[in-house]
Amino acid sequence: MSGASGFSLFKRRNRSIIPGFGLTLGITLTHLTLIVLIPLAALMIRPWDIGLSGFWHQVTEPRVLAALRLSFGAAFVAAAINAVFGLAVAWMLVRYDFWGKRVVDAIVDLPFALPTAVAGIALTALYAPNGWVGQFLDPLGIKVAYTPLGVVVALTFIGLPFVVRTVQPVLEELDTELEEAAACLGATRLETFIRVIFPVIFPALLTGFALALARAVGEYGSVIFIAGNMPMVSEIAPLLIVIKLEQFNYAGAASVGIAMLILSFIMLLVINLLQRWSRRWAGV
Amino acid sequence: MSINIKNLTKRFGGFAAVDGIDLDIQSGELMALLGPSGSGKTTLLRMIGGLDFADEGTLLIEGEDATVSEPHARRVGFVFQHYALFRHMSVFENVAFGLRVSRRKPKISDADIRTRVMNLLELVQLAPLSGRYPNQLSGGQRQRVALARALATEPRVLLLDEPFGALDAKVRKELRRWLRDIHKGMGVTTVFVTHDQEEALELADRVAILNKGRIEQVGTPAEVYDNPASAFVCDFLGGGTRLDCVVADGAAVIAGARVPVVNQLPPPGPATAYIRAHDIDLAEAGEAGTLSATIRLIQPVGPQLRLDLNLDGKVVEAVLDRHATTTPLTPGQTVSLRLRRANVYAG
Repeated sequence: MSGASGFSLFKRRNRSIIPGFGLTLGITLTHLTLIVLIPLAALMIRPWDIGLSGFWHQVTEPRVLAALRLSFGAAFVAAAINAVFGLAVAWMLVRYDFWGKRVVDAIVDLPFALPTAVAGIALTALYAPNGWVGQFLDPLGIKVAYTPLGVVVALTFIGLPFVVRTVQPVLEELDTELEEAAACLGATRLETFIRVIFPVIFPALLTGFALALARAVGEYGSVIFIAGNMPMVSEIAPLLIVIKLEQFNYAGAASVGIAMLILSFIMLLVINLLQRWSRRWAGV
Repeated sequence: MSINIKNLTKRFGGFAAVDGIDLDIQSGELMALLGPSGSGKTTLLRMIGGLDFADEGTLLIEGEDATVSEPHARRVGFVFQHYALFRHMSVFENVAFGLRVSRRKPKISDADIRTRVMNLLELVQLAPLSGRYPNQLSGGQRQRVALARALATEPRVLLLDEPFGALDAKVRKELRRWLRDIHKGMGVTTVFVTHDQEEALELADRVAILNKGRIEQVGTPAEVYDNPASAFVCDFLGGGTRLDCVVADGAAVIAGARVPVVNQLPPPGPATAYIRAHDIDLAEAGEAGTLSATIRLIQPVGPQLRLDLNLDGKVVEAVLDRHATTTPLTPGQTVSLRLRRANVYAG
């Protein structure tokens, strides 16, 4: 005890056997400040030279509004698609043994590893009206490349691993006895899934959805090739920021950045609250 | 409701987990399936419950063939070793689950579900905790919720897989008595799996002892304890010390001393004798029919005095009444032993 007596920051009864609270708190705050908060603060300060009304004017410009709508709309749709199919992929990887399972498992991570520009070019080549996939869609009147649909395709591609990798461990932990218990009590397979399995994996699915959504909102590289980047139609907000920067409109670029930041923050906050609510049974 | 099992077999790969088992369980009976891990007892229970399906043989519940029917169609209640409670549902909703499923016909009104669930929670003494989540309960409470949930659908047969395995000794004892009371009160045919011989003997009307996927013996707790049908059963039910002996003149001769045999006497010749720790007495030195041994260790355990004795290089365990033992004993001392009875098996 004598060795620790000089360190009186924490009262004795609050002392925990788990070491390193002070150290990790210090590192966390320093790291967050340097890496996240200072750059964000700089972003907030930047448009101050045009004032609040200038900011509002920049953000409500029709071209900016269209870009924001496309960025967030497409990201939301892509994350929703990933939530459904990512769940299916995770389910298959956890529940069944099949030939080549490890290969499939590895393929899931590829969107993480691939440079996004490569993915964008590959997707464009596939979905262009004369591409491998596009040539069959074109006669049906479905245009993917150079349309908002193309944006959704690219964002779906990059978001898949987030859902799979967050849902997979939770599914693995899920005890098959739960399903057996439900079956003994007379539940059908569908009821078992809806009432027993889904509520348990829902928080993880939400996390995966939020990560995929956040990633998709900020995605640039893979989208700009397939989107065609027509103003008001298929131009995403991050691209608009780059365009404004190239025109030396720094305040304008920062304004769009802040608008994205605020929208993202609200979205993630809502998802977080929803997640907490869906896990209300976990607290002791 | 009676259960009739004929030649039931279940293989996993090339390994027969359950190997041609015949067993009849009477209506209203409390039956224990006792055996070491890997003996097939849980697989047998899961087949009765419809969670695993037999490769061969038949299973009748109340005279109807249930070998391949779905679990819910058998109307059995299953209690899992690790409770398998739905952790996102309150205690109330866990118990109500089986009453709310769509297969339940006719549909039960919410008011009726409420009365029924609360009655069951009253029975398992958890009514005040109906709004809690499983995470907020102790192990014993969770097991009681699991039991209430299984009973809610009014099963014909109640199946329990190592129901008290994960609980501490005191809670286990309480729950045992309490399961016995519930079984008496409801009269539902009950089968439980355990590896704890004391639990099986204390709780069950009859015990089936399994080994390597086969049944070694079925009988009342007194029958199987007093007259174990095989060396395995004897050993598993606390057979005591194994000693080599020779069967001659209707008794077992162990190191020159004649010991009465309680079970079916094997043919004369070399055999193996099992002496339970309670069946060893200290005798006066030099008395006829006694054995000489040295004390290795003395351990007082509650009312008992446990001795580890060295008998010709073999360790023999003896349990004496601590208060009736007046002679002072010290480790290293040589004493005379009288073996009161033995179970003897050929080979």
